[in-house]
Amino acid sequence: MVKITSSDNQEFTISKEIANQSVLIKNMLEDVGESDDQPIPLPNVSGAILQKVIEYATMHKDDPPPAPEDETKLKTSEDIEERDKEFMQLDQGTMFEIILAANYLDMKNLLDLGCKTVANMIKGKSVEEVRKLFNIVNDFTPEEEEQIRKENEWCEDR
Amino acid sequence: MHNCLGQTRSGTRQHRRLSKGYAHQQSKHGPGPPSPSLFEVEVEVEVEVERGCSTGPTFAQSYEPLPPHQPYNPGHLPVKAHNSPETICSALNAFSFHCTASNNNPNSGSSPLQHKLPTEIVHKIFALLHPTEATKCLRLSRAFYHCLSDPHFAALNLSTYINIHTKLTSPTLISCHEFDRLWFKLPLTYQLVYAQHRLSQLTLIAWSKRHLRGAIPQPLGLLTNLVHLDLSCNSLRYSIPPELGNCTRMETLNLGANELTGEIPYQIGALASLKTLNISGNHLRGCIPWSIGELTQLTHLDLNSNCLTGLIPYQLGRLFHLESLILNTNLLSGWIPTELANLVNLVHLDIGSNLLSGPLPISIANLQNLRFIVASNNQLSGLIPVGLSQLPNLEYVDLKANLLCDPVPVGLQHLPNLAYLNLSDNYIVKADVLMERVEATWENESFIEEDIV
Repeated sequence: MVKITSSDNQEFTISKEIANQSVLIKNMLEDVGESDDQPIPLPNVSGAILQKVIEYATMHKDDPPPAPEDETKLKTSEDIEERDKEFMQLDQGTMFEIILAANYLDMKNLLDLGCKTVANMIKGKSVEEVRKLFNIVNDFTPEEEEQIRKENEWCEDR
Repeated sequence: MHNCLGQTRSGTRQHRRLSKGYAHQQSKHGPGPPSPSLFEVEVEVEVEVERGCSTGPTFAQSYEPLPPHQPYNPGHLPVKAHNSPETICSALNAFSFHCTASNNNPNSGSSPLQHKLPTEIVHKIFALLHPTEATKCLRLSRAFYHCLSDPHFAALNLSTYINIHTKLTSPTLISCHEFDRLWFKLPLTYQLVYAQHRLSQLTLIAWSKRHLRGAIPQPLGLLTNLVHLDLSCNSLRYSIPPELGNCTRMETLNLGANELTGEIPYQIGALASLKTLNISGNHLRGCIPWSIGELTQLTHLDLNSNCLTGLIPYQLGRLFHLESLILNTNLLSGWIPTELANLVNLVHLDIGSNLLSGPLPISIANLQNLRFIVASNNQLSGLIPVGLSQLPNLEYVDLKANLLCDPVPVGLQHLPNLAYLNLSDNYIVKADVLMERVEATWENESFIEEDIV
């Protein structure tokens, strides 16, 4: 078993196979050796988020090892498992925290899942809708925005 | 101090990447800081760099041009734990800076997508969108404009949809993939990546009548293996990129029947291997660049139906291999240069429907291979040179609607191959009689169409 602590000092004890889904923790374990039972501090992840991340890792602990990266395989945001879709039914704040945590913990599948989920939220929406959805402030002057729109107008009517 | 997207050392270079229109706007407002918010971003950048907060490639690095044919390596892996505890520690600190920075700002008005995520994650997310959609997102805000204008992003984005790193197996490209078509529409960064990775090996591109819209991409100049380029009969607009002059192996360039504007770039004179140049049927303005006279391998030059002005450059007289010179339906003026008489291989000369004046050069007698001559609808004056009646291969002579006058050289209507002669609308009294006499022997008009190159 492996002990990890969150930024707010919550301690979690997880199995090694779950811990190893994080390349960061895996490398740390290899570095410090397994005899050490000091908890691994994860100062960038809060307890609440770590809880969710562990939930994800537990859900996927029996997954077959990932196939080697195939350069020719095109990525798509459409191929999300149903259980992962459900898992990502979160408020935006939590969702982005999980993406950051996945990036920090080096959990490729979870990071991909997070990115795909956000991309799917953007797909098919107008610029204004995307701004509204993610609370993005338009800091262009109308002239600037028009200029950028014009430069890419062909692009938009494909 | 929480804008992770603005994480760039190359603030000034980024600015330069902004649209022309935007630069114009800046200059309009004088030399001061362009706008407060843009300035802020730059300041933030400096501070961030000082604190060593960087989790991925900075824009400064990413703005170096991509080395050709080198697959893009998405270097967005998070900090790795190395053996030394110091490394781990400093790496963790560097990363935690991101999170604390955003945590310090509980301001509900901020967008986590814009302010919290490091650039490489934003890239990863937007790269999943179709490039047309990702391009639309340039308008979201300044920070996104900077972030998504990165060529590394363009490479990442394209590779989601097309195997840009898989070289095309054939050096010729006749079919037109969705992304081939998009190449003409996407922003320059995408065009560069696409040209470098996907098209660079091509020797032939034949995309005539492919419903292409947009501008001829500047990065076409990177396709230095191209021998044949046919983009004719599409709806391409704007000017011909001067970068085309880099494609020095080009033998055939056909941009005819588009909606191109601007001038013919003088760099076209660098295409030393060019044999066929066709830019007919566009809206080109300005003069015919004299540098076309450098294209000494040229056999076919067709610039008809544009709005070209000025003189016919005398340098065209150096194109000894020229077989057809088609300059009709423009606004060319001045005298016909006598140097054209050097074009001893010329078969087809069409300079009709211009504003040319002065006489037909006497030296026209040198053009012993000439079969078709059209100089109608100009203001040519004086006599028809006797030399014209000494061209044994002449089949088609159209000099109507000029200011030419009698007497017509006697031998003209007796030329053995002459099938069409039109001297009407001149100061020639018996023009109709001459024409009728020739037409009597006229059998098959249609062959002319076939013979015109």
